[in-house]
Amino acid sequence: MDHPLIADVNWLQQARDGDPEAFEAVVEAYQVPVYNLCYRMLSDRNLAEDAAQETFLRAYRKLDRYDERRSPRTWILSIAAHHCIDLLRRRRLLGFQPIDDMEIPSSHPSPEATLIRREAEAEIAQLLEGLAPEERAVITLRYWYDLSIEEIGEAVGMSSSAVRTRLYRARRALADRMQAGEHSPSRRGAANEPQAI
Amino acid sequence: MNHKPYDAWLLSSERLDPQQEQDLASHLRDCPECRGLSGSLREVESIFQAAPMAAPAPGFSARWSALRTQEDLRRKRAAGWRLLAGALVATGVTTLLVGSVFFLTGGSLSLLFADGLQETVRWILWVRTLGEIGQTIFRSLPLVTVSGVFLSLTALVTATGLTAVAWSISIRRFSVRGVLK
Repeated sequence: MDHPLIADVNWLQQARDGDPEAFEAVVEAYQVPVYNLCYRMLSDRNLAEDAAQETFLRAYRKLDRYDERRSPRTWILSIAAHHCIDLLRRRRLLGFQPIDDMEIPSSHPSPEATLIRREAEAEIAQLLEGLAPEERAVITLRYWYDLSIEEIGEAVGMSSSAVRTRLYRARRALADRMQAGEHSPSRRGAANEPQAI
Repeated sequence: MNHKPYDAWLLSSERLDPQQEQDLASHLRDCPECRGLSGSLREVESIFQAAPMAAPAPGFSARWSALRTQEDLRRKRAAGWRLLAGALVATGVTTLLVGSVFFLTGGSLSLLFADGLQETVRWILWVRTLGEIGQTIFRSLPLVTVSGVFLSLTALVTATGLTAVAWSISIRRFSVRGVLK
């Protein structure tokens, strides 16, 4: 389990005491992890931006309910995961498919690098597409955040055994998709720094 | 070929002990299906591990601040509407009560007015009688006790007033401005 960083907890305390700038520091610190979780779950930049903004609004409204013993990161990721699970369930009910073709300026200068990155992102989106909302959440938290089973359980509101079951099923589904070739050809070369997607 | 428990080990998120790892490696050499599963899983993991954390477009914090300002405004307006709705409901209930009394008094305005006046006079007489009783007791007490009682009463009234003011401010703060501000 990761321990709450004192600076992050202090920001949350100051924000709770009515300092708006303190919460802006929280937004600044967690915008990439929250956006990444929303993007991996929703596979759409516009939806991810809206979901990330909504996550911080919900966190801001729920500040008085924040338990200081919890890690701020797990707390905020938990809000984001629940919001995205709700959106995915609603999307399934309405039969909506995201259209993610908006061009956003990226830090990559070369068109080839941009193309490689886009292909890799499309491949990930296709792999994650077949998973249930909760499975997407546990897979994303496991692979991009390196959270323990207990931390994932805390973030998505499940017991450790339920998380293990979801991970097992999701890994099986991903392997099946990979074996069946239900994804675009993979091309490597993406940097490990956060990138504007 | 029996794939149990090897496929479960491959898909499990738990670490295997050295003996299990050895058994799995031996099984993978002989079982193409489990080898395929293992290879696919490794490929999926390498795709995920190669993908960077996705970052939002620049200016995310500024966009969030603007959204929060809008949200604060919306919540203030909603609180105002709730207050107005409450006042309207209170007015409605009062009107209904007055209307009922009006109906019970036979729909006569003069009777309603007379009843109201009678009740008011009764209350005034009550307060006056209480005041006179208090004054009589007050006059019969020794001077030191009188000033003590006077000071205590003044302190009590002041404390009650201050508490009422603080309470009203708190109620306004939490209902109109929200908990966070």
